[in-house]
Amino acid sequence: MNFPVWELGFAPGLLMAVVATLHVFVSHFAIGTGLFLVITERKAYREDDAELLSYLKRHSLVFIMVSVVFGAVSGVGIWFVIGLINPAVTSSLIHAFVFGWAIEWVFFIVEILAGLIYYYGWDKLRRDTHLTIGWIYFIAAFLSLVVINGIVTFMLTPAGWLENREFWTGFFNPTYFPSLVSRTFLSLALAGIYALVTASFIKETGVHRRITRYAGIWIVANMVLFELSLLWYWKAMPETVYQAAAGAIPITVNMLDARLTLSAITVIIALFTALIVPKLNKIPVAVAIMVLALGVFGSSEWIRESVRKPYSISQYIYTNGIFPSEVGAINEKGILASAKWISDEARHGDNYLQSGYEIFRVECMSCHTENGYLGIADKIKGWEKEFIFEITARLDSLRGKMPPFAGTEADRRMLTEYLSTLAGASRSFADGKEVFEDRCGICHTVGQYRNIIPMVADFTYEDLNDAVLAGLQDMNGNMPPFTGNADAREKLAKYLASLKDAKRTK
Amino acid sequence: MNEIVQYIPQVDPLPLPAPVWLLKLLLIFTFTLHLIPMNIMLGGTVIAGISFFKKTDFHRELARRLTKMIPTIIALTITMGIAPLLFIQVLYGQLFYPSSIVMAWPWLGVIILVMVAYYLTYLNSFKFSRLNVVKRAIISWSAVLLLAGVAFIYSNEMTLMVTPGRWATAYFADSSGLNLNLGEPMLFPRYLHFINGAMAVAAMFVAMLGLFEKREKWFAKEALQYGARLFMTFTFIQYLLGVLWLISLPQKMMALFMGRSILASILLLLSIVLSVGAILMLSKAANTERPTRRVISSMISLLFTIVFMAKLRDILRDAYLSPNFNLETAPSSFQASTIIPFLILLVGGLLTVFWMANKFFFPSSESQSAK
Repeated sequence: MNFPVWELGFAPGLLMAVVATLHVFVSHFAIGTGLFLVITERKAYREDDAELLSYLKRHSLVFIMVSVVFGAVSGVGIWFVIGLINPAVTSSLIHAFVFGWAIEWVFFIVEILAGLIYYYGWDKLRRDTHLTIGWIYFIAAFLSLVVINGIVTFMLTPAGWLENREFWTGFFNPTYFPSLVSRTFLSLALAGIYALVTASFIKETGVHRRITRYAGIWIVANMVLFELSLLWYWKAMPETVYQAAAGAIPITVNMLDARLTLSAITVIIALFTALIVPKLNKIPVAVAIMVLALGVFGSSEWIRESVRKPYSISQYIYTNGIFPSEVGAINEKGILASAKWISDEARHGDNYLQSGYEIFRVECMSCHTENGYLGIADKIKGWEKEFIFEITARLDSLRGKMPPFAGTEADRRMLTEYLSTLAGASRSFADGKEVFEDRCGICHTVGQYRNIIPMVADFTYEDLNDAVLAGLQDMNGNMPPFTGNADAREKLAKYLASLKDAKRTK
Repeated sequence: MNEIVQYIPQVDPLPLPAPVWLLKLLLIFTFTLHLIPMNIMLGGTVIAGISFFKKTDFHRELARRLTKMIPTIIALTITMGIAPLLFIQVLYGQLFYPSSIVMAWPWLGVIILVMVAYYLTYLNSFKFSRLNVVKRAIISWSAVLLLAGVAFIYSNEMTLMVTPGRWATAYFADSSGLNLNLGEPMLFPRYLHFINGAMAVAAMFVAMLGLFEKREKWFAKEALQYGARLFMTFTFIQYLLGVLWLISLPQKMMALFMGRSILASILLLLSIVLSVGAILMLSKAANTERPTRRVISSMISLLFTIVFMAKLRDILRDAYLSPNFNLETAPSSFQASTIIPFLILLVGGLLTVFWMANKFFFPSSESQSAK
């Protein structure tokens, strides 16, 4: 609201997802591989294993190319992206944690230089010095995780910080330790996966088998530990947050299942191709495991971000950069008068569509697009103007966990004018289930979250059609009126009545 | 409410975690730490690129050494760049975010350009002996082009940031982030001043390579002479570009450096004196048998010049922003529980880095047991 909104042409979340997922994948790898390198190097010295040592030298080149170059640049990339797509949140975080990041920066300097000296020092340094540099690398890299983990978990569970605004309270928040432990296992699993990929390039069969098996142990053990530690993480989440993930947000639920399935598949394939039949560790197989793992970790991060909705920092700031504490004032004054980045034309003019569009821009575009990913046109297709207007007053009740609309009724009217140009003509429905999903399903489910069945259990079809659906707005303050035509209403009533019957026959 | 203030976001509800003077000190200190490798990276890539076209043994060797080093110098540039990026956001976020959003695509492009340039320099560094000179030159100059592009985007962003009066027009005409700040009179003088400054600093780096080369005396001597010559040339050009920048400024800002601000005028004068001193000492050093003390003195003079320039740049920024944006009014606290650990860790971290660098560059104390 305070800042201009970048209309990048697609959902900002996608840009963030791509940059952040790749960075997280690489940065965790960079930490785990630190430990992998020193432990394996020591093993090679102890067993006087020249082949393992020569493999490690080549592996550390990949390591430098991926971590020092891509990891470092994409990490800066995250700064650029969050500043562009969510400046208000970035500003909050930087005010609260700038010295946390400054501390991380110190570790980062040590990490990068130790990484480079480790790589360039293979033939130059004494063995023990080289190992010491490797340890310095790993410790510095791990400490940078120790710091950044405090800030990432703070966003989901700021807990006591909300009261005292104290750095360390926010830092050591309820999900801090479980998250640190799972990220550590994740790092070690990724180290194994990268080792598996570099091992798949080895021509000599004996060495190939040995290193493949060795990498396989890192993967399977740490993946299993990662999954177990996630259970602890899940427990540490406050109930409200847990509930959000457990039923309210439709996509999150599907994603949870998908994540676990992917993870299981990854472990099984790795178990088979790395440990049982290491001969199978060919380049495409290893790369496939890596892609699967990217899916597992990408979806884990995605879920963590998604359960935080409607906040960017829980309870403190909404995803659209509006503070819950300022919503009251905006409701009084109006969003057009409160937001900084409204054009003069939209602020003072009579062009409702332009004003509506700019309201959409400052309140909705931090997540939504018109027609792309999270496109609003698709979500409100065929909605009557009145229905749109009513729903905009209840955004914070929707299952999608959205911030409330901040502004006056006049603001909502203008937003509705604009949105109804996207909604198009009202649609017809094949059956009542479709009506339910389109109109009721945005808040209710059948049998689960905000279960509709007990709510309609006492009514007959006639009650539903003639009285209930006709007077929804009078039931309690939260329900919008049903604005569909008679045909849609009858179909819906029939469907709702059938739910009750279905329950009775059970 | 005037036009300009209208679009400056409100101050963040959270107070600054440290007093403004401390954050500014950290900003200028860490910016200087970033500026030095950044200049060597950009100027060094250009000097390597030029050396590919020269046929002497010295240039061949200079190009080889620079090419091998540049990826590491890029790593330093990026690493050192993070801290000033943090401190500029905490101090100037209200300006930094809107201006970068107005030119979002070019700004984001920085990341891509740096990444590609980085890999190109690694390609040159690792495959040096396997590439012929034409290919080396092409890769090297492509990297120069990309890095100069990054510098140009930065010049746009840093000038747009201090001119909030330009934001709204650009944003409401195109909110997709495809803007630059090309209408700004100081843009090109400022940009050229930065690029050429990088050349001068990289020239000093070449002289330094000569100073620290203990075994190959012929290279040491030529590097020192070549570095001194380049340094003199680029510093003279720098004076001209500095004058050009100065006259591109609005009258009021120009006056700051001509006596209206005592601090600004003294710093500018000192910078000129110090850089002239650096030229004289370095030129003399290049023609003596024992150049060490003179080269070190000229390096220190240059270091102070860079620090003063960074401070002058900061004074200019605040002058541009006054009276619409004033840092002194921002609420601040003193977050001792993090500032003190940070400072202690910074010292510890730098000591660790020195220890590692010492082991790496002076392995003489190590017995050569590594295979």
